[in-house]
Amino acid sequence: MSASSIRIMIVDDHPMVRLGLSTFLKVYDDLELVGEADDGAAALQLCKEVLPDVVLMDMVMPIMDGVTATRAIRQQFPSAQVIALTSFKQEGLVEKALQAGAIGYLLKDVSADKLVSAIRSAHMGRATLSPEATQILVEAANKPPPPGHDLTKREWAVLALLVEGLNNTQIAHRLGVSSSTVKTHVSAILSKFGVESRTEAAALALRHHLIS
Amino acid sequence: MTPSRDAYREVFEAAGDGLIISDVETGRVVDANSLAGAMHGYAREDFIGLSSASYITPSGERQFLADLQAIRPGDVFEALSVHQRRDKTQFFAEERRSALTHGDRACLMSVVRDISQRVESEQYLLEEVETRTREQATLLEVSQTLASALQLKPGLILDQLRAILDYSQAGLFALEGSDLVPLAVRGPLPLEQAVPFRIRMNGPETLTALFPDNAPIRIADVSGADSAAQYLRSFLENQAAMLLAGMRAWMWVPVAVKSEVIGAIGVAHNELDYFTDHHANLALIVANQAAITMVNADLYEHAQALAVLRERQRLAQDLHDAVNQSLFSAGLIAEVLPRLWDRDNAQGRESLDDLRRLIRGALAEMRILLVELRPTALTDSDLADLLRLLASALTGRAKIPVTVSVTGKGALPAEAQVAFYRLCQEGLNNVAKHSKAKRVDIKLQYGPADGAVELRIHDDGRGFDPASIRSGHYGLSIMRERADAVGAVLSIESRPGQGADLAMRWAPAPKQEVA
Repeated sequence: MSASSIRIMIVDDHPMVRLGLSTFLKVYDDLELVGEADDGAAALQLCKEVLPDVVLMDMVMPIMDGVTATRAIRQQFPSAQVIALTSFKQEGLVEKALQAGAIGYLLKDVSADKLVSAIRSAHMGRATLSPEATQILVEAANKPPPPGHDLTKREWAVLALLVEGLNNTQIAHRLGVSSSTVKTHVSAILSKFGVESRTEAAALALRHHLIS
Repeated sequence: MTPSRDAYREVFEAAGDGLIISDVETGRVVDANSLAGAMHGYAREDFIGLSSASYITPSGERQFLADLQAIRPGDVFEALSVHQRRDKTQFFAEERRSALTHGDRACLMSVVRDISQRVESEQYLLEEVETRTREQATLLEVSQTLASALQLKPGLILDQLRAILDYSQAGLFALEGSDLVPLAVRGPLPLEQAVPFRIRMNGPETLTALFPDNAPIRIADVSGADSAAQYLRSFLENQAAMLLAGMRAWMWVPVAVKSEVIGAIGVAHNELDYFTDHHANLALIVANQAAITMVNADLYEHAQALAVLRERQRLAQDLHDAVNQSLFSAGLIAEVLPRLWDRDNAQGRESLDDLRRLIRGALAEMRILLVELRPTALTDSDLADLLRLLASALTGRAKIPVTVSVTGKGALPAEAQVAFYRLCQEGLNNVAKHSKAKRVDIKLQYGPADGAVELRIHDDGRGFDPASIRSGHYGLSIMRERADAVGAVLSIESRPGQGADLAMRWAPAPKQEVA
């Protein structure tokens, strides 16, 4: 293989997936398979020996999962890029993989052409996301903020006591402030929640699990 | 002497207890007051002169004679003995015995008190306490058995009720719509054999009529003219007359949860007006326990159905995932195969083989998925075919060649077939995950005559020490449970570096054919 070839490591607990990926890698001159591992822990070990440029990382594996392994590899071998390659497309997983330092997130329905270009992009530090992963991220980013995101610390405290069913005098007593101060806080909470009554506010808080 | 003698006689007669003076030497009564005579059914004159044997029963008399010999002035002996009247009836007597000189003769004076009533009431009390204790213990037992039973055992409820409430016949009914359906009945055989039957009520309002306050209803006379008796006859006579046959008294006890009636216990007795308030209370306690069990059993059934559904979904998900992985891999290989072929013929041929195997494997996984989604397929299909399916899926998934050999022919009961299938599935999963085997052989053997079936799965992998594997690992405990459930014997043999042998043998139990 040429000196400039991209060193690739495959991490997947399914032997047939490793078989497919290794067969696929054979036809590209600039890609070189340098190691295979069947779980995250083994992958981390192998990284030390083979120093890959790009790791194709399954997410759901026994012993050490893909997210944990990605984070560890990115910390210990910053020059290695990780592409998450998975059949799962849960919202949480995409974000977790990216937060752990993956530069790509592809589903296991990606074509050979797309996969090879994703590997080359990753090697150059460019991200590739499957359309599904992109959509999940966009949806997550566009979600309206949860009610209560703009409450002050004091208002949170008042809300918690309000949910317990305390009246203003009792809340004032608990927090060591005057009743009129509590009244101000309660009005602020109602207006930020966009509700009319403290009962509605309490119901909203409980419905969104704002108060544990 | 005379006045004091009269005074003595007066005191003697006025005493509130019977007084008997007996001669130490002869043991005969030498004097007694009228009360002592009356106690024993004699006139005073007739009582005097009797031997102790004629008014004390033998066991008491032995002690009396011993006291007679032993007593010295100043001694007081207390005794509790059974005395006998002239008419041979008996009573409990409490005696205080002391020494006395009577006209120069050494005598023994007994102060006798009839304590029959006290003894009887004590005994009654004791029996009462025993009865209550037994009831309490039974109720506790009822509560414990019922609470620990996840499945409803209606017969058991009635049996336990009988331990505290004697009935001639009884039934535990569940309310289904506006029908009363007996879950169990106890009584003469024809009645017990009549189950199942239904008792149609005239709409839900009739139930409210049955238990106006969710309280037991006692019917003193089933053929009586009161409305409860008439009502009882109105729906039993045409639909379940057997429940009333020969019965005089009846009691309904509601089985209710949070004041909602979900059933009833009906108890009958061949004695008129047999059931008391106390009976009603006891039966109600049992009925309440029964209600809890019925609800529990219901919930448990739901939970079980849900668990089965979840397990099936999990399996389907796993299989779907496996199919996906195989197809992804096959797709990649198919895509690069032309270029691979151009570069290296031999390599291309090898990859084409891989491709074929992957697709076969995926196909097998797909068919397994269908089998899992349609569980009757598990029992309708030939076991050997199912095993081949599992084998082919493993080959595709793990690139391990698997042979399946079948000797003999036969058929298995559904549960046993499913157990074999699951064992093979679990076993091959373990091989794929842990063994690093290069080859697996599955042997299915139908016994020549006895109907026994044996499945053996051998792999040449790295093996393990069976003793070191905790039962929770590799699904071993589930395998054992499944084997036990169908009465099959599971064996696992392996040594590190020597591969592993998993086998299950099932033979029909003799009684299985009858059932």
